[in-house]
Amino acid sequence: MVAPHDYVSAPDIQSVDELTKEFLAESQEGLDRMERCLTELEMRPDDVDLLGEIFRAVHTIKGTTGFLGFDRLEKLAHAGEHLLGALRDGKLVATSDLISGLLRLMDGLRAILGLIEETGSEGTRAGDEDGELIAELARLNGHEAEELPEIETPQIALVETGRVQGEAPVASRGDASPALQPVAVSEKASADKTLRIDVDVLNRMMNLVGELVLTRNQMLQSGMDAANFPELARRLDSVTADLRETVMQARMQPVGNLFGKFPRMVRDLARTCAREVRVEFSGQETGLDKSLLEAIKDPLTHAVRNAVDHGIESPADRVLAGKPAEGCLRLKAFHQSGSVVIEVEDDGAGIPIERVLQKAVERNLVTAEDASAMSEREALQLIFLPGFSTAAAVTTVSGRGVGMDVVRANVEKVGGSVEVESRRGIGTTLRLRVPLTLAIVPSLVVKSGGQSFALPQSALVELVDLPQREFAQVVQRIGSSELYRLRERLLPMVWLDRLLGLDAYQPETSKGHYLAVLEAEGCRYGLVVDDLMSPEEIVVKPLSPVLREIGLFSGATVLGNGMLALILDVGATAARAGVKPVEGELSEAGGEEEMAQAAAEISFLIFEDRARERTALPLDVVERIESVPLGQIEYAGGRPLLQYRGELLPLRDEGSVLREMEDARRQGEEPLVTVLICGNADTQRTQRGGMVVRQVLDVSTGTLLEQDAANGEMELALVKEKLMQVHREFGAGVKVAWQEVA
Amino acid sequence: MKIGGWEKVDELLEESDAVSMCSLYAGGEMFGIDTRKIREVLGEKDLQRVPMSPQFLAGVVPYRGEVLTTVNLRALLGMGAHSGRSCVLVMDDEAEERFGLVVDAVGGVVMASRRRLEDNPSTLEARGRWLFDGAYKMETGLMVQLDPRKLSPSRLSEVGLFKDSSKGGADASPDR
Repeated sequence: MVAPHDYVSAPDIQSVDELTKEFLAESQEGLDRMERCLTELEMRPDDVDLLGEIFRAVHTIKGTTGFLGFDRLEKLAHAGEHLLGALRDGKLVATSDLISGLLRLMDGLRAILGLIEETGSEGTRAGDEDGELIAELARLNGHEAEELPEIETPQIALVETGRVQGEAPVASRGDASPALQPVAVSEKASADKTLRIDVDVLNRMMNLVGELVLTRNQMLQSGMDAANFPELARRLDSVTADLRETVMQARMQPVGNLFGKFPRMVRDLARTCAREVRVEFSGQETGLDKSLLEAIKDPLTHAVRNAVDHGIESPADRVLAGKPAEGCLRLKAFHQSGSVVIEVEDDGAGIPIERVLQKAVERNLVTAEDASAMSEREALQLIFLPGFSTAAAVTTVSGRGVGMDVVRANVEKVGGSVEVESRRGIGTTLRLRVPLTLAIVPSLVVKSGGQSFALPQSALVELVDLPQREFAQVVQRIGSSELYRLRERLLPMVWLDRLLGLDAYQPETSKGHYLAVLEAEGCRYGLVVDDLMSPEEIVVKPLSPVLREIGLFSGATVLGNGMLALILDVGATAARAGVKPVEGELSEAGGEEEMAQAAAEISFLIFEDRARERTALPLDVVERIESVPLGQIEYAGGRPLLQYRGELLPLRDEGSVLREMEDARRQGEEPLVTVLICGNADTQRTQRGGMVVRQVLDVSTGTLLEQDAANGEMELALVKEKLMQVHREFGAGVKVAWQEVA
Repeated sequence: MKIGGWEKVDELLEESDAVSMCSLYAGGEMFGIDTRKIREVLGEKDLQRVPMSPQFLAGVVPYRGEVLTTVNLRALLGMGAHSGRSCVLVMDDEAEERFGLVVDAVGGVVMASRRRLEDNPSTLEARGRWLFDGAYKMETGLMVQLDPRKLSPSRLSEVGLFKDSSKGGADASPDR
């Protein structure tokens, strides 16, 4: 019964009133804090500050509860507070048992809070549901249950609450009644529907919205033909970009919120598995989009579980191996090239490769011959196959058949990726890589059957042009299935228009197709589309349930031209077309092997500089290919120079392209010069230069041969099975141009 | 039947009985939807069809930062595609999801008297019984009342009456 207050505030079952909501949010936050402190307390049992913090959390709950009239909660909190009081006063020592008891107290409090949130009441009838727990707390305190002293008056508790609040980052509302604490709303309260936002960010957003409105007004008044229209459009663009960035910033949550749950979990796990584990964190402040944080919660939990259960050995084994008995689990978060990386690292035994291979063969995931030929790296990838679990015995913790394949699927669902690294006897590192934000996805817009579709860039490996006239040669068939031979690997081809039952274009009018090589959930396949449109940063809009049911589209987006495009779910499309993950995995492994065998193979950019001669440059030397109006090229001492991003680049013009173009220019044309911007791939940014070419032809792989004795500047290479001549340039010895002789 | 003038008097007298209906047309028939259940009339819009979706869906259309799923009234009635352009109405009921209804044309707001509403005839087939909610006897003929709640895409797919036609994809099976 919600007892004394029932007739005053009449809590409605449907809606929990504002006061209670705030209380719930605040209490959850207190309990979160308590959870963190409790696990720390185990390491530093004498830390008075920690004890104080825990005490305050429980005390606050008890105080406010009394005020709101939740009897059951108050009773439990009181028992806990009493125990904590004894602990704080040094009458008791924080033993492992005691901490377990306190953790149970916390769970108990959470359960009641959850009940209140759901039903609006704490659901007690007899008032003795927590009798057992209270008795246990009393026992830990060295009392019998009956000996609990009288409950303190709520007034004192409120003073105490105020003090806690003073430490909170959010300023207090001046006129707030004691129980109306300013809401530093925890994201856990009210089922993750609330978010804590910096007031500054909110103000900035408001300012930007104001500016947006002003710009719109001006645009409406001036109309399309006005002289200042381009200026207004530019301003609109910049305001929108700023606004977007600010909103994204507001959605960012520190990863620490997620990490906070792990010390407790690891502690419990370590106890059940009889391990000794210490948890270390770094980069808790790294921001991640809230929805992404939610999405990686389960995969990360799974990874941490694995690390404790399978990774870290039992203390005895560790000592035998010459390691400290206590294992260490490190959780790291950091930014790396536009994504957030979260690492789960343990210093355990590492993943036993033979066991992995053996298991994979047992489960028919690979053949015995394949297994024996696999490198360590390839073998490690096997753990991501569905239905793979190396746990010798099924423990309560892991080994229930859901394994790393689920982790990978979940992370890939949000556009991320998973890697694993393992060193025998030293440890295992699992790396989750997730994009910064979910709502805006870089993608490529393609056309098929007259409709536009968006493919997320994260799944896109490469694009291949399939001209109509070469179609018959490059597409190979086994039975009815079509395959594309891409660098000696057979890639299953999926026709998007056929898969979706769209009307295909007439073959006669079609100028050919494009093959988008996609990879998701371990499947690699080529999606055949009619046309490629521009790459766009798209804003993902959810689809209605009926359309989600189709299962092939993860959302829709409005394109720059105002049309809608459906976003293709790359993984689901593979499944629908019957592309099997294992196939993809194996062919990938095969490809890697090949790569390892031909380690000397390099990708070359092939282009034409002198008329009708083909020359090549190693691809990693070329930074960009630019089209520059001839007028922008300047001369100093007879040498051509290009001002490029604040740098003066010397240009090489082997084929006298510039002179020819200057002639053309004198005849009134304004030709564009194709310039390869070359950097030194090893030392980066020193020794940059440009190379003037007639046209870029292709990218292809080749092998470097030994130096040609006849000419100190030349080297030989095989590109496309033709002998090529190479000469060294710029004195750096790294930038080389390759010239065809055969 | 009564004389026209008499009817008018009747309507004026019974103002509490009056319902404001939006009239709309599909395949030459007139339908009506309570105006309180219509959020907006979008007019003619380019619809993007969604491959593999049920036949009764006309496609999606951008609407105020959302992607609106639209239901094709003609397809529900078993009519072929409309030759001209179609008109989109946005339905909004507090409890239900927002969706669009595609019709041939929208007439205007008409006042109808609740007393002129007749129940569905008992001879109506199952689909009609689901779609129609009686008819108003208007001067120009019958105006069949539609209940937007029963027209929402998720309800339509739940009820299974209109499921027959998830077209396409026949040749997309992997073993082909």
